Amino acid sequence: MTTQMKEKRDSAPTAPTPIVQLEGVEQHFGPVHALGPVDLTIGRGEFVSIVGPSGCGKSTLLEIIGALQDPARGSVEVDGAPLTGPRRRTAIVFQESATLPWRTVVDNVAFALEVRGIGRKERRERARELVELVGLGGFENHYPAQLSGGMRQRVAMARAMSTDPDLILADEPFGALDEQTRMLMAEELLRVVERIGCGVLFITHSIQESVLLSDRVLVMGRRPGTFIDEVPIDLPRPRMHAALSEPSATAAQERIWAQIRAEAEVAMVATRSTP
Amino acid sequence: MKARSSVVPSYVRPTPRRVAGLPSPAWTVVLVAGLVVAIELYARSGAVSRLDLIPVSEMVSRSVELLGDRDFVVGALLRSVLLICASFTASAVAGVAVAYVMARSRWVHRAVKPYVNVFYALPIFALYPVMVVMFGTGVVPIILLATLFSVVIVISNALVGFESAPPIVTKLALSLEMSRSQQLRKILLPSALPDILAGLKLGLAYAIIAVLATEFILATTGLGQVVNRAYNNFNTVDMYAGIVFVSVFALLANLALGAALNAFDWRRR
Repeated sequence: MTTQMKEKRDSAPTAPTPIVQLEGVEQHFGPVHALGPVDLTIGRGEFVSIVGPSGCGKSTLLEIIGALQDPARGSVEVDGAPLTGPRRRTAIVFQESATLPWRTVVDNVAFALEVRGIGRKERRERARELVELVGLGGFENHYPAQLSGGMRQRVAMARAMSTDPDLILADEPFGALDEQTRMLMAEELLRVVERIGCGVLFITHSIQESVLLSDRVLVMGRRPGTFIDEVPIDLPRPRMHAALSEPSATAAQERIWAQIRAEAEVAMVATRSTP
Repeated sequence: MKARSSVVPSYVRPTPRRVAGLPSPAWTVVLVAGLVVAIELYARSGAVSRLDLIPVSEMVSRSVELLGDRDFVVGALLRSVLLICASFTASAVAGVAVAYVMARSRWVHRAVKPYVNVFYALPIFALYPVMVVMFGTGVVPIILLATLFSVVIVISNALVGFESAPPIVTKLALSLEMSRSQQLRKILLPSALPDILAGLKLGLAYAIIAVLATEFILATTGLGQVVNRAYNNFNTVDMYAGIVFVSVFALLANLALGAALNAFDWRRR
């Protein structure tokens, strides 16, 4: 299934217009300088992760690209056009599972299509395919309360896929899951994203996860967050968990950890000395 | 013996399925039946005047007779039921609407919340002379008082529901560019529904109380007035029959509405 996708992926860096292009983006909340200035380019079909210490502005950056908040400074272009509001083909996967507890799995997945006025029959058909794709076949008529955390996050993933996105913004989507489920979900996400070939901006605390998933890992420094390193990950695709033990992968993990550790230590000392 | 030696405190232990050889729910019935039999025997013993108390069997048979009385059914029962329905519907619609506006506007919330908080400290039935002066003794003051009395419990419950929509779902709505009416129909209302339903159940109980009590003090007919007239005329049989009828009626109405509303409650699925 992946030869076609691989071609698309390999040609991604040379594609004409990148899906996301940020220049000099900054965010301030009152007196707090939260983010930036940040420059960022994400190619079409490219998988980019951001790792960084807590509170460095990763989520803020993601919400700016998703048009959930406006930047204080800088320019944001998505798909070659300046961002004016939420975009139809940008899908956001949130940290907690934003499933609607009063809807069944299939109606949750169909929610975004329903909001956009797609007919009942069509959206249910599409939702059923996606439920199958994320491995929840047989659970179509269950309610979120009857599912595990991992399964709920699969529902949120399927809903994000439903609107045929060309860009997925994921804000620590597996943050609330246990380690094993997390790794399984990461592999699952790779499989699904490779199928539809969209660009992904993935925010995570887990260095392993970022190396396993990404074409490129960006390391963000402490607040106000700016990128302090960019680590390309040259592992062949499709990747499975075993790829993490390859020498280039372990080297990448070491390099990212060294950067974050230095930042986190300074940040900890800074917070300790200001009571 | 074994259960008695348990180290788990009794208040966290599950209710036992059987107590002293009977299923637990059966004891509820036994208690009520015992009380009824005790009143029956006391009334028949001659220790109490028939003006004060009559046997339960007479109360029940008279209240069943009342159901065959056309004047009672049309003049009192039907009229009270219609008044209750009108007040309940008005308070349900107005209550949810007011709560929605409060949830949406900080100013309205600030302006209205203090009144909602202290409303039930007000002895609302003391307003009835004002109502009579302004609207006479017809149906208008009854509906007004009953609606006012039940709307507040609907408002406060619906408000809890609207305000407990998780922020992450609000972000989802924002990212999907949902319109205000879509947010209301597809997120806020379903999310608040279990709390709204809880408010509606209480709202019906309050509407029944208010209609019957208002009829008691200011109407010329209706269920409440039937009891009041019998009471004023020393007609103890009709008075008790009316009380039994009204109690059973209110209980059944509440149970029926509760069962109907629970079918919509997604937390109970």
